[in-house]
Amino acid sequence: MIGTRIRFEALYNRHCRKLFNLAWRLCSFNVTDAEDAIQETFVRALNASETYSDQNKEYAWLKTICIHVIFEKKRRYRFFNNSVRPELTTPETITPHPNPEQLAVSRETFGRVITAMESINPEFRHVLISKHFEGKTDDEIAGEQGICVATVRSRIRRARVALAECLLKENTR
Amino acid sequence: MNCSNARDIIDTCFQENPDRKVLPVMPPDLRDHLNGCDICRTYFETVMIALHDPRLRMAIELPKKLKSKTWRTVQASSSRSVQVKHLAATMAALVIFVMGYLFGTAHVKVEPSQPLSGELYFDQFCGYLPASSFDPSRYFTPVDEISFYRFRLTGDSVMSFPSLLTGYGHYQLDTHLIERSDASVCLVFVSPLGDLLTLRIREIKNGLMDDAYIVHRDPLRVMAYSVSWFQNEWHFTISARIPPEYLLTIAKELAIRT
Repeated sequence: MIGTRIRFEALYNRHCRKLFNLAWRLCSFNVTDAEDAIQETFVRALNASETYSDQNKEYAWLKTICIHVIFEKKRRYRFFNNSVRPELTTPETITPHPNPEQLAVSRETFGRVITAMESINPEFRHVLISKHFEGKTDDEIAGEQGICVATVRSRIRRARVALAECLLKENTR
Repeated sequence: MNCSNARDIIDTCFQENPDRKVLPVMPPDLRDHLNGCDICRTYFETVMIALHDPRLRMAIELPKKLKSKTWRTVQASSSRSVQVKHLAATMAALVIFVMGYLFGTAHVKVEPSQPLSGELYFDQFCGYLPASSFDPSRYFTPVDEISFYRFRLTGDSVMSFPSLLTGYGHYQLDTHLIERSDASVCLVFVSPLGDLLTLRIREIKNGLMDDAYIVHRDPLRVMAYSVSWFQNEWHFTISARIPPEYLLTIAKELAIRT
């Protein structure tokens, strides 16, 4: 258990802040859901940590687990409730002077986009998350994934189109 | 303009304006294209509203107790007995399911997509949207055709939505999103599925008033429509992702009482 504790401390201190912010955004800015996702991520990561030793890609590995946890949870929640969970955080604490109508539209659309992201190709999803949810540049994404910048841009465009098609399908369903 | 050009322009608009502080001024031909192409409109909506949400650029601090909570969860899950219990429960569930399946006791009743009479199933909320050929003039309805109206916004108003809306959708007022001033009020109603219906009421004095309901496509949301009308120096607009005919029905039945 001491070894696990040391490993946990190291992983947590190195990556948790970044990972938590990513989870918070992917959970539609809901702190409680993000906390749950982080806990589950570390549980899974530590259970599998013996099989993983590449420290340079540690964050990418944790991120993949975290994304998987979040989307799995969303699927499970929909399965049992047959509905998309409404956002819980009061948005006016985040945006100082929102126009309620714009804010509501933004909230509705954001929730739909997050849900639709489950349906798109994981490669596209990964690029979109890096670009829009982590704020990475195209060059950074290319370096992280070992692909060229042109491929990153092409994937971003195709991911957005795929997302739009999913949303449209959802709307007309 | 084709779809590829339209998406290029949309992407460029937002690369130049990543924080979305100002909405981009759309060239007229792009606007025309978006009016006719639902995929590009959804693309615009996705990029503009969701993927450039200003909140995506914000960061929050780690909750103080997260570390200890996470460690407790890790400790609990690493206990072998928990894993054994989970395995046993899974096996038991599997056995029950297989037995139920084999002996015919686990039938799940599913509502048929078509009634037994053979008529096509039609869901007013989710089933049908006249998206391709939208003609606003079809939805002009003279105000004198309306039978039921009581609009007053003095004092604390109580609003009742028509029975169909409350019966099917159970839209609830989101009290976090009420905007109210002397001359206007904006109310946002949210359904359990996260769909929203907004009602904006403004006082208009000495203005030109159409004596008709006017149905528009919502400029921001795909498959969303808005209906606006004047009544007793008040201008009303409701907007939702609801087919225009039905939204118009809601507008006609809407009643605000003091």
